[in-house]
Amino acid sequence: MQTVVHDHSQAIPRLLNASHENKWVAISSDYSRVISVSDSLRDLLRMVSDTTAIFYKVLPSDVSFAPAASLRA
Amino acid sequence: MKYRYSAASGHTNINGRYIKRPVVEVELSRGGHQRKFLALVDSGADHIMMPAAIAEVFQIDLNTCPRRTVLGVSMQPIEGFVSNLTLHINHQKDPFDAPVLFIDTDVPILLGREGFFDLYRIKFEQDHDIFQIVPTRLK
Repeated sequence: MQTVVHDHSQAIPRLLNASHENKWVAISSDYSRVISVSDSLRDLLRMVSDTTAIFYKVLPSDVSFAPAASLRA
Repeated sequence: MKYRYSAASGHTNINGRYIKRPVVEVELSRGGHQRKFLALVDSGADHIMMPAAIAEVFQIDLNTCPRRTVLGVSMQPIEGFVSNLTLHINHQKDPFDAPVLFIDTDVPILLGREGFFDLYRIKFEQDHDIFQIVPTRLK
C-alpha cells in the first residue's frame, strides 16, 4: 500500500482563512504557521528571506478557477 | 507517490461542497538560488507557467528570453517569456529541468503538460481524494 502525502493538504484549511484570500502567503516549512502575507508576490519574496518558506497564492472563495491556457507563437 | 487533494476553507463548489485541488509542493532552483511554492497540477495547461516575479528571484533577464503569447479561458492574449528552471516535486526522488513560461500576472504556479506531464504519469482519482505522480523517465 503506497503512502498518501498529507503534509499541506491538511494544513492549508487549518492555516488559511478569509483574510488571506486573493493574497500571497509564505508558510513555514513544517506547515505550522503563516510567516507573512502580501498582495504582491514580488513584495513577499523580498520580505521573506527564509528559503525553506513555502509560497502560495490563496484564491478567493467566491470564484471558480479555470486556469487552462495555451500558447500562441 | 500519492498525494491528497487540498481544500481551502470557504471554497465551495456549485453544490456547496468544499472545492479541493491537486496541489503539490515544488522547489524551484537555478544558479544556486532556491524557493518553494505550492503549485497546481493542471492537465489543461500546455506548459509550466508562473508569475514573472519568480523570474526576478532567479535573476533571469526576461528581455533576453524568447516571447510567447498565452491564451486563457477568457481568450485575452498575455505576453509571456520562456526560460528554464530546475523543479523538484516534494516526495519525488529526482529534480528535473523544464521550460517555464513566465507571465506578468498573479497566477498560481501551474504544472502543465510540457516539461511535467512529459516526465510523470499523473493519475487523478478525485473520487478517492487523491492523485498520483509517478516518474516515467528512463534513466
